[in-house]
Amino acid sequence: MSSFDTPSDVNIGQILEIGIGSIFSRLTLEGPIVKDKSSYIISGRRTYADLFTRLFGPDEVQSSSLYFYDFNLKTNYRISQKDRLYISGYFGRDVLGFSGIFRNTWGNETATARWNHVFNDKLFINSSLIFSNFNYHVKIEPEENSDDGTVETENNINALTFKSDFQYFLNTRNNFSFGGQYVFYKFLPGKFSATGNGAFFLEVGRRTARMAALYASHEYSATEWLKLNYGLRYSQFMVDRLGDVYDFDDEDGIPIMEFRSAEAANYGGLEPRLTANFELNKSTSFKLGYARTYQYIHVLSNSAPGTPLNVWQPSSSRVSPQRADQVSLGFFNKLGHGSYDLSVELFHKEMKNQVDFKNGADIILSTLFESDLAFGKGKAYGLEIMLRKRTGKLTGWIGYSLARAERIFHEINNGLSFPPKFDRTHDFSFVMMYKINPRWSFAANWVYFTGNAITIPYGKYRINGSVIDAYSPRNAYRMPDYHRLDINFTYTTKNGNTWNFSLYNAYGRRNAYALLFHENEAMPVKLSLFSFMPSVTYNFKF
Amino acid sequence: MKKITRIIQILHKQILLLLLALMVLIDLSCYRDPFSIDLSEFGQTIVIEGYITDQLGLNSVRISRTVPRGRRNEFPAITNAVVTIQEDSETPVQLFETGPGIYQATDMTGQPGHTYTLTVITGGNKYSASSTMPQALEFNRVELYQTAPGATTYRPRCTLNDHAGINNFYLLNIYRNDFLEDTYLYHDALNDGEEVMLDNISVYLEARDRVLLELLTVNKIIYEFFDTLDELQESEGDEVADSFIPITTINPTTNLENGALGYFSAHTTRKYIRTAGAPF
Repeated sequence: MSSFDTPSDVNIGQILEIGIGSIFSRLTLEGPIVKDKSSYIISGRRTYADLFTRLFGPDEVQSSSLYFYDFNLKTNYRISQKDRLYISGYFGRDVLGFSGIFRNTWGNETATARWNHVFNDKLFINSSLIFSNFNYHVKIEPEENSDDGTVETENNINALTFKSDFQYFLNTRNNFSFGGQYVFYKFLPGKFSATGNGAFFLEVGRRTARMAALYASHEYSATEWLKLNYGLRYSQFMVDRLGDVYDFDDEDGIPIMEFRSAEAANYGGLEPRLTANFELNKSTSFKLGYARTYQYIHVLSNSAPGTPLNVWQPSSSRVSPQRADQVSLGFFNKLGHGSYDLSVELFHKEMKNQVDFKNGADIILSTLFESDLAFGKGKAYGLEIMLRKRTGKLTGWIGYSLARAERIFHEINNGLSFPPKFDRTHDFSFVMMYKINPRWSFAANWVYFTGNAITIPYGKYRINGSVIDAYSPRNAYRMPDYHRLDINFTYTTKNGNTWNFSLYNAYGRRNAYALLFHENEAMPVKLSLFSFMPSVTYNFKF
Repeated sequence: MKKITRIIQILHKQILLLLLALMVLIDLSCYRDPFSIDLSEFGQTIVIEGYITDQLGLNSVRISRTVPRGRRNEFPAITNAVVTIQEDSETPVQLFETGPGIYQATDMTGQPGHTYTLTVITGGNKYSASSTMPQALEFNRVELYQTAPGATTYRPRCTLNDHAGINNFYLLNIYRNDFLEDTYLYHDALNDGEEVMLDNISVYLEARDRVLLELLTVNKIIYEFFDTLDELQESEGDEVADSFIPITTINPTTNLENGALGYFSAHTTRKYIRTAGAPF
């Protein structure tokens, strides 16, 4: 969410920075702990959209909560001339709720401890211990006068990573890096419970997994004009056998174990990579690259228009890890006496063991029980161009990519290729910053990209006596293209405080969030979230 | 099974509630604009609903077209098509149009273990599908039982013997006074080769109601077709669900080639008719 610098080494004392805005406020505190040895930076933010919904919303929304907050902490400590310790943490929560009806929270938190040790001027090591957690929790209160109790759903992913990375500068032409990584994962994709009439407790998909990896790479300046960077990584992913937990009776004599429990699996593979950089002259170079990667955790997204659900699916005995092979060719040029950088890159990627939902799959259950998943292959290819201006009063960049992704699954679309949801044919971004004078600066960004690929009902038919929708082939239709301009003026006062005036979605484009297809209506309704949104923030320091 | 269904319903309800709440909030700062999309590229798709059974003359191929969204539920029948069913590699038998868009072969009987290939030629296009008729599952015992001692309402239940070592898929249609009340889908993954009791039938009968239980033993793809059809029907009618239901909304998988919707099934059928309240 945020990109704070590590606390500055030059400690001048405590600094408190406060930003008060119409949409969110933030507070940053920065200072030394022990002079010249350690320092810290703490910050927090909170949005308050719910203040507005409470003030202006209809009755049922007056008791709602809708906010986001996060905390960020960074410290560093110089243990000795050769050792430094960095500790950082992040905690963020999104809360959405209607009091007495339901409460829904998403959150993620990470904590990192990194130890940097310098052996000598050629060799140093970074070791980190990282904890991260993502969770999602829904609690639904029973309707009034109903026998139902509270229903709760929880979904949790934890990862604990230990890694060590060595850097060895042999000489000006040879630079080695090597190291290893061990990650312990805990997945709990589905925990459900209900109290009251029809109480139940159900836990599915709980599993633990471990990932271990070793790598080494060599950066080699072979000649004045040729630089090679090659490496090899070996990774291994192990999923443990864990049963699922149910505590309700089997009714009607039918056992519940039609849900298969997780089975142990063990995958591993070599990931080679190579890039060769050819420097034609001081300002022009070419790059050739190849890399193979394994991905052990899959992200699944639904193709129904507007559904915000994405599901994380670890590899298991039925779900193999995704393997990708990518080749790329790049061209880089410095223009205008070095004030412009131009890069043009072509890429082609082949992917194996892609996972998607079968036709008619129930998204929640299919991932829990891996029953409705389909497997296939995919590829992606495209062109990326970027022109960046780094110096002068006007800085910024223009980026464009033309790309295509396709999937081929035996069980989907009669084996014909179809685009994944996030296939973006065009993706254009324009970012500029202009320093008008020492007090005022102006920034603008404009983005444009092709809409998501979706599956839509285009007609209807009668079958087996009932009328049902006829759907387009998988992801055969597109959401409207998305584009938006944001502008921002910043005024710096004499004592260094700033006023920030910004306008989100400046020309009020109603970008589609969802297309709603109503029964018996020929055309859908386009749902869009925001028109333009102005905001003012005042940042001041003590 | 019922509890699992209930959990599934609760899960869906949760997500719908969540989405509904999101939408209420969104509504405050949200715009709803009519949106015009060009659906002509999808055209009007042919719909074929065909079956052949192991009973003499009990076969039918119904051919129609999809209509665009928003139109009335009047689906044009496709007449004058050339429709044939071929048993294994025998000479194809032509079906005759017995009503608009309905084709039948009065003297044809299917046999378990044989493969049937349907071919439909219409408008210069050819659509085909093959289906192998499975071995029939037979009713063992069918009964109507009182919902409570002394009650005058009855529910049907039945038992059948599953064939061991074969993946059996079957459908049970329940007709009450000649009206199709419900269709239940079963497979034998958990009770292969056992005597199976089908007692989850929620059709309630009054005295003198005539009930018809029709047991169809079908192929896996037909089972999956009806399974998806069930889910699609459940998701309809709710505004939020219409576009947000977390189901990969898509046409049921078909065995028909060349882009047709529907299915062609070679299945066995067994019927059992009883009148509620009548002596056994």
